[in-house]
Amino acid sequence: MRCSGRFAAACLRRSGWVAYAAALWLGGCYPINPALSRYDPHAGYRYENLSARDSDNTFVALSLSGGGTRAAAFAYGVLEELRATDIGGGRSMLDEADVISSVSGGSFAAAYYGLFGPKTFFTEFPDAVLYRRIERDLVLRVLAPWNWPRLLSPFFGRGDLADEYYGNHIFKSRTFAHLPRKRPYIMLNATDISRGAQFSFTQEHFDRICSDLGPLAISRGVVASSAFPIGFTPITFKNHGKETCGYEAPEWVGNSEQDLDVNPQLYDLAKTWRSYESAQHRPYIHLSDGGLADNIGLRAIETGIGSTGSLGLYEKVNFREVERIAFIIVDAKPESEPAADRSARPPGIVTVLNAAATTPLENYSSDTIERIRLWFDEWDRAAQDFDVRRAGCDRLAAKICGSSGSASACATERRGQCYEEAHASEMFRPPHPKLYPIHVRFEAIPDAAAKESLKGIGTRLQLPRREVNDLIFWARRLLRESQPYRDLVAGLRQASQDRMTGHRAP
Amino acid sequence: MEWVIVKYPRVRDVFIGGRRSGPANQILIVREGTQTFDLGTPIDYRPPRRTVTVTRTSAADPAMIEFEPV
Repeated sequence: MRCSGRFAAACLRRSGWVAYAAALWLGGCYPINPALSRYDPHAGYRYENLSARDSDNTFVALSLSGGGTRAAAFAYGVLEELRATDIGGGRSMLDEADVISSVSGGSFAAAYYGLFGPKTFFTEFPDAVLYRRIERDLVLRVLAPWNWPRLLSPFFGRGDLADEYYGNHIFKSRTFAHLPRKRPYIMLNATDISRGAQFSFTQEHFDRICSDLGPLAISRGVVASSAFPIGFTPITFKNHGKETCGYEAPEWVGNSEQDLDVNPQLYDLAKTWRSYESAQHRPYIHLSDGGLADNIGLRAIETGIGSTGSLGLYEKVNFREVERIAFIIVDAKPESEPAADRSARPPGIVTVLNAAATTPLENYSSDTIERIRLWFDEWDRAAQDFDVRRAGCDRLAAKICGSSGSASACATERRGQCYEEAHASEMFRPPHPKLYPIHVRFEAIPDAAAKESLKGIGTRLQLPRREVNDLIFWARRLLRESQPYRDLVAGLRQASQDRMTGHRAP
Repeated sequence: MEWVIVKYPRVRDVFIGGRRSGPANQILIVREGTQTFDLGTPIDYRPPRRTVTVTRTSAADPAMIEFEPV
């Protein structure tokens, strides 16, 4: 699927006959993402179409950060620990994962796990990715003279070369249609570089450009998600135009366009959503590393819950179907000693460019984590406030009605009045699942030397075997020793035991 | 995160933006901003939908959205 008819026309307009003929002859065009014949908001790879692997009253979302092989190994360690954690009834914590959202290096692990399942993932992923010298292999391909004509084509870049390599050697030419129709929902996230907005490899996002995600190679999603600028060229997608499949933006988009002052973040998201509608203005979408929009992959989950509603969590919470919500943030953020600060000379251009490219991302990532923490706090506080209001009414009724006892008609009446006035009746009881924010990060490593060592591992696509093994070891240990994780596991084990004994919590 | 109670004299599901989103007469969590509420089909209530900008609510002081049977 190279240089389709309409794409060929674009080639012609841009480069003229000679360049086009040369590019076509040499295969120097990237694959065109397939068109969607008819828009169906309930079809394709989306969360609502996946069956739950296990208990549906626990929502577990994992976000896998960027950071090359460092991030992939750290993610692998966490997934391995989840698999090793027994929660009773012959199930592991990994069975509870509902969503895995990833960017950049984390996307190798997310895609491989989603595609091949736990058995293959835990036996093959280390050799297929973690110990593989991907960087060397890619450099060799760039240096190979037979690839130069293609790389000189304006329609084929280093990102496309990496896509070929990942597709042939890691992802076995599988497509998104090969992803199983069961959870976890895999969200590989890239960045639309023109808008600076997250672009996920889900049908919901591909609907916007009337493109069918199913036949697209998984490797295309991984390479877009991890196409770090300069190292890789952006990955280009054709916007087929909303009229070609009859796409209609969801209702929240139109409503949110009125909310500039009320919810500016959602307003911006709605504007971005609309920007894809005109294939005349944006006939092509260029995607780059997902880390440019969010380097921990958490925003896609937050957006799917609180903005677009595509993960349907609020609905399940409102129907009181969710008892536990866990966010496992796998954060392979490095932090090397600032060598520039040891010199009186101002930092060089490379150091400054690197800081300009990465520092805002890290701040943005911290901001996302903080937003989740505040969200959880607000939820807990709402439930506590309700209990306080109710207890205040109970005390007041007892005081007014004196020794006649709490069950007396007086107390019942007074309490009821107070509940109404204080908004403490059952109608106002907020849904309150137990919340588990689990942040797996190098900073929590208790061993100072190990911490410094891991924080100093660079963002590469190949690492020494020892560093990969250290990353896996510490990821497992950090997760295992995380208090919120231990609480979650204890809660699930208790629930499993209760199920077996027929006991039901009040 | 915002809080809403959709009031209706009977047990009924609430739809927000066309999605089944929770029960009536119980406090619900919704996103901040403008949203369209209805009670699904049959449309034996009025108004048939309400578009409300939900902001600055709390669990103790949620937005109240009322429908009545016809």
